[in-house]
Amino acid sequence: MKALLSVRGLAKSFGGLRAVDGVDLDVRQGEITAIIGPNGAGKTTFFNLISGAFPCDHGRIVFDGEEITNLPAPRLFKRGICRAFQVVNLFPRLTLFENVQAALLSHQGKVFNCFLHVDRLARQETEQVLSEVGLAEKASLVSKNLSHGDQKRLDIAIALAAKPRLLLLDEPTAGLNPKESREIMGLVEGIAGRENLTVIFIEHDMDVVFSVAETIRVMHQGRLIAEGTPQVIKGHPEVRKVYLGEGE
Amino acid sequence: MWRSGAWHWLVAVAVLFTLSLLLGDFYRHLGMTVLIMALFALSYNLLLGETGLVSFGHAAFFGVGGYTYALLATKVGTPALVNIVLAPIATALIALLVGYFCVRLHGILFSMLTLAFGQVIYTVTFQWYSFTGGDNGIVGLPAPPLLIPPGNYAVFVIFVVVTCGIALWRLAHSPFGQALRIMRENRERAEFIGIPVRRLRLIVFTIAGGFAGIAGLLFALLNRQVFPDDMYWAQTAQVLVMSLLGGIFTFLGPVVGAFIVTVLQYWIATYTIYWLLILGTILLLCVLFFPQGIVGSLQERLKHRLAPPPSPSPLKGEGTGGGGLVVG
Repeated sequence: MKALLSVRGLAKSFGGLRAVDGVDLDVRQGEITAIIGPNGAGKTTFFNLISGAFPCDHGRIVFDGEEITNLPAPRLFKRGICRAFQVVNLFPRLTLFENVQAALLSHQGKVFNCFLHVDRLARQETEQVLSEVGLAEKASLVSKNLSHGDQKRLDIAIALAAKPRLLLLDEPTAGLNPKESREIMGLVEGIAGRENLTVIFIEHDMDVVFSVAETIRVMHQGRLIAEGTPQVIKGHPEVRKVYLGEGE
Repeated sequence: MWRSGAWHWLVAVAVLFTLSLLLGDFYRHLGMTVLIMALFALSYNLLLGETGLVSFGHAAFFGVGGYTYALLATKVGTPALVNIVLAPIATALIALLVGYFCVRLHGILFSMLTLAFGQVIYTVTFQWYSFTGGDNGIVGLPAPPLLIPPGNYAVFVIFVVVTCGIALWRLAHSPFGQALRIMRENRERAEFIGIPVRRLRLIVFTIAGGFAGIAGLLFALLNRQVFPDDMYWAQTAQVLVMSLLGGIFTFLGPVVGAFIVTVLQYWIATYTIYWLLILGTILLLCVLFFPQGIVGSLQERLKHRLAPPPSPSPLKGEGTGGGGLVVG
């Protein structure tokens, strides 16, 4: 089966540190996969490379049969790769509505439009995205005034607005309580199932990982050391060593 | 509300025109200066308030607008109407060139580079006596015969400023304007929702420069003279003060600021040479007590009175509150 995203030999160093050190990965259409690993394993750097935050040193990234290596973030967005952030990353003084609407208008190619009135555009779609994540009633609030949980939802809503084909979530449940975590991941699962969306998420909460992910990739010191179904990963000797035998 | 742009235009032109008929020569001249400075401040706030870019070289474009007209008229001898059309275009092209280098930088580095370019343009104008007249400026500019009577010129200024003002208002409320605010709020995330930040910044820098050029052109024609001082960085500081005073996160804030600063300058300067001291005091009080500027604070107060906190306020594309200057 052809992969939607395939990565070969991806590498990135910062100074002497090999943050990502030769990663090979294939993610098929519709797959929900988790990337786990200890702090500093290179998970976020890997995300930054495949979402166009900065260029890689070596390697290739192919998305839907086309090479996308080192394309900048706006171009990847146009191709349907959208991302949410570990640390909440919103447009703080704008309303929730504007936060989501801007992503939608960008997706519709209206960024350079100087003639239409923005208040009238993409209203329904924006409201629909906001109600999908349960923020419809708060649409007119300024996003910096939201609670952390709602900010996380909005962060994901911005990434979902453009109907992505590949959704990258960097610790979607960071700082949330268990109930909020379940709600957010339930939401992502629901949308992914409905739209046949491919999701890669980085996560530290193992309950979330093992309940949501169909497949799991384990990163350690910039490399992928294991991949497979949750059952396989649970029994994987090297994973047990990395997670249990610290300092090994 | 959108289609009513034509109505706004008509009402604004009619009101201003009636005012200009009621005013004597002195106040009509003051009124023209206020309108021209208002346009200049609006063009500046497109960068400052909308995009979060603090430019210290904006006055150079104001000056280039006037000088392009003056040089074409005195050195080349092209017809005045052609010069009027060419001046903003030439200014926008120079803004495009300057912006090409500046928009690559962020925050204070952007500001410093705009300052450097602005001062280069100023210095060249100031020193090149054989071409620009140096610090003597260029005086006694010819104007199209139709615009020579002050009453006629007032109508022209009203017409141009209101038209440009409405164009800028529409720009600020278009998807493009929203993308500017998105960049102001969070440049990094903007890239991840598909907004090509550098390209958009270059476009807005060029547009802002072009409108500043129109203001400079109107100013040159008002006084029939141009001086290098119009380009000096202090002129940018003044337009920055106007924007802050009125409120940078509101559309009309810079207009109110331009009115206050220009009128104060005219009035107080006739009594004392220390008018900057008084302006400084006012600005200080304003920053301390109305950090969002006059219009920003009024808007906030009005919003609170109309809608008590718990009930959601109506959606607005502007004036979403919050203080502090964002430097992108």
